[in-house]
Amino acid sequence: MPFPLPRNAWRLLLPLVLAGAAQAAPAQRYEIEIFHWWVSGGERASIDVLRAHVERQGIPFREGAQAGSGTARYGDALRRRVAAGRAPTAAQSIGYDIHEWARLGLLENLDEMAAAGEWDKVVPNGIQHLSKYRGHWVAAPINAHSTNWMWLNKAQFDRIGGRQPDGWDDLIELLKKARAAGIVPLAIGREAWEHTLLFEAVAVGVGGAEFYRRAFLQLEPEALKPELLLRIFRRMSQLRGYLGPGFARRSWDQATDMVRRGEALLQVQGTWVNGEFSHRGLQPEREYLCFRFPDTQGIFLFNSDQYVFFKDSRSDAPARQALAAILLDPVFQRDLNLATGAAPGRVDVPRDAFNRCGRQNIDDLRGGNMRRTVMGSVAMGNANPSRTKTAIYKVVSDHLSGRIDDAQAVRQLQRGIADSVR
Amino acid sequence: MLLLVSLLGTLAVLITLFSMLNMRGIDRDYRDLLNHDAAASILIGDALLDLSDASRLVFSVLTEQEELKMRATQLELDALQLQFRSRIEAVRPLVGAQQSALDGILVQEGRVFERAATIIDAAARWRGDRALEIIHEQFDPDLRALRRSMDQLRDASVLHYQEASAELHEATQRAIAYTAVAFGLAILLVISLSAYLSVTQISRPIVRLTRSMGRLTDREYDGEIPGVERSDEVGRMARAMELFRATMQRADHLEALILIDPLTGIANRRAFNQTLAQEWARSQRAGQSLALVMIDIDCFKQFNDNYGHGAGDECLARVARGLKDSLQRPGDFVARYGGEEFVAVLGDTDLEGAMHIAGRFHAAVAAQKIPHAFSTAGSCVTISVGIATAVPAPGLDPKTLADRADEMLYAAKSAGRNTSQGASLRAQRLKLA
Repeated sequence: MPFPLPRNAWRLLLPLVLAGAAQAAPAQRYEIEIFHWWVSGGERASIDVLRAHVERQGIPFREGAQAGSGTARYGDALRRRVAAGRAPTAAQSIGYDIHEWARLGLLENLDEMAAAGEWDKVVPNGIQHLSKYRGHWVAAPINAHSTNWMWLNKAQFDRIGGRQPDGWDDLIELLKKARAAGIVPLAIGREAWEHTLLFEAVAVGVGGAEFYRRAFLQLEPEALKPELLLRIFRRMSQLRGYLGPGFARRSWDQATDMVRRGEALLQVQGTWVNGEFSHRGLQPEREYLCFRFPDTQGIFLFNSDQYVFFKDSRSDAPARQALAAILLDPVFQRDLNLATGAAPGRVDVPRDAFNRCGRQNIDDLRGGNMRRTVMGSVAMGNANPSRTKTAIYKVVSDHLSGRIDDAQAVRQLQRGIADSVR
Repeated sequence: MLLLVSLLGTLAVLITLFSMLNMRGIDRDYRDLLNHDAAASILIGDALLDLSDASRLVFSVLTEQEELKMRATQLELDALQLQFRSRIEAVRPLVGAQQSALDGILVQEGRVFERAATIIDAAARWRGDRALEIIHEQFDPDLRALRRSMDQLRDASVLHYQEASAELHEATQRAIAYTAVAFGLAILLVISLSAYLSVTQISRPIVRLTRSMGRLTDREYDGEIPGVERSDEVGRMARAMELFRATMQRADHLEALILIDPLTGIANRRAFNQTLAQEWARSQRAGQSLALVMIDIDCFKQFNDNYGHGAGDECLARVARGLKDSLQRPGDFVARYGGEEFVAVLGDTDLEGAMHIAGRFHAAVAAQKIPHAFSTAGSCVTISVGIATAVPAPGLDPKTLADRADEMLYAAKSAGRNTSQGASLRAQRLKLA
């Protein structure tokens, strides 16, 4: 079936034409400045893809960066810039942070660009939920990371005679083997979002997609059944024994390095690990393995990187339109996410160029779409607003660090979530 | 009769035609009903199956792993839509009044297949979530609504079938009733017609003929005989009667010639003899007195001799008329007895009554004032009268009565003429001046 040219295709084409004209013109009429948190090695590669795509259209590209995705540190830096009248054209943003910005009335309405690019038709509803504020597009999603993944050192996995774990017991058995082999079974960093990322994988594995959606996305108090929460925290306690000493002093990428070097068997992390490994020339099936977290096969907990556009930026409308069109461009999303390790934000991007883990991630996203199991990650703030997220962070982190026991964790989580939505 | 038979035949043929026509109409309606409503509901059922196939196809897309296969599903769906539409169009001529419902279904169908196309497109873009959303929020409700509309149409078809069937049943009953009524009416008509015809064409004319016959018997020949112009049996009868009347008239005429005296125009002696015999018998039956009056013109020989036979004949005729005119009762009878002698027979008359009549005879003759210069009894013609009365009884006979009257006439002559003498049989002789 031939796709009809979108009704307002000119909106899509105009910036390109203008860009072409601008390229030929001696004086640049506009530029693009973006603000982001991609500072690690792999992340730098991702930004370079964006730079290349923007500059290929003859648009000057400037950037500002502040490490710490979804953190107060990043948010504060951005807020300071906006307050100082130095709002970028667009800034990286994730999850409910987007809604926070939108609530302040600072964001550009992207509806026209979304209509021209048919974003509604290609972006999964779960992501659209975050990209839209009160029914209007305010963010351009560029990818769909997934958090319920395990990344394993293939050499160590083979050495201990590991098998891909299907269920919880398989995982424990695998972790036991690693411990017996004298390596850290499960590498993790000190930050609460890392702990919560592990927690959400365990939680959705125990309670299933329906429980996860009701408990963490729709925040229905009655979904937080104590016996279910207790089972989740018991499993978290079980995992606590395999984290190895000193996890409280590591960052997530240091944990990734432990896996890469073979000091640890595996790490439970988002698909950005795939990006980091790729950046270092590692290949799936050769140096590393990617398995869905046991009991969560078929579920796609996502973290979508998005760009919000500021009304008050110095960029003019054609620049903003050009950037929005690039961000949702299938070729850009392919190139970008080959670097990030994520699935493209639009699900119709051909998957051929991706590595095995990337292809599986895309397949899982497409399949999850069919099953309504594409759900925002709590850890990455894609599931619920930051108040709730923070409440969950605290309980989960306290529990994993051994400051509270399972029963306390159950009670505190119930209360924390309930209080956060009050 | 022929008319009746042909009428009856025509009626029977008409009624048969009428019922056959009715029955054929009902049969045709029944077949229409089966052809239309049953066919319509079968077609709608098939179209509903198409919809099931369509919805299965739509759902199958969600399990496909390749975009090409999903897009191919759209082609299958297009074919299914064409098939569905052709079925609906095939239903169109069968459902008559339901055209707007059909149009509504086509609109709904368009929407459902449009949704299906959107779902497939979404799925082919790996937007299973969007596909599911459209399925739940649009496709399923629209499909349900479409199915509902089609079910309604089918129900309407079935209802129409039932109603039409009931109507046809009624029509059948009606046709049967009409036929029965028509037959009844026809029979009634034939009966009344035959009754009317038998009354007007047969029995009434026959009654009239009978009356005519009665009149003929009474020798009344003036009345018209009804129905002679008719060509049927009654006409033949009337004509026969007419002939009979003519014959009777001729016979009467002959009889009259036999019984009437040609000179005076009153009854002759033969008629007198018949009358006397009849009156005698009648009076005997009734036990009434019968009077026989003998009249003789006085000195008629002298009249004849002096005035000539011509005057004599005229005298006889005038006397006879005078006598006859004197009799007022229908049964009274006077005849020329012979020569210048006359005789009267008076039923139910005793001697006194007879004497009274005799007085009127005298007066009547006197009133004629026929001059008779040669009479010994006066200057004009006079008569002598002899009377005999009797209540007929065994032992008496007419001859005795006649003889007695003759004796009384002779006595009157002897007493000087222009007088009457009378006697009752078995009674003593009376003598009156």
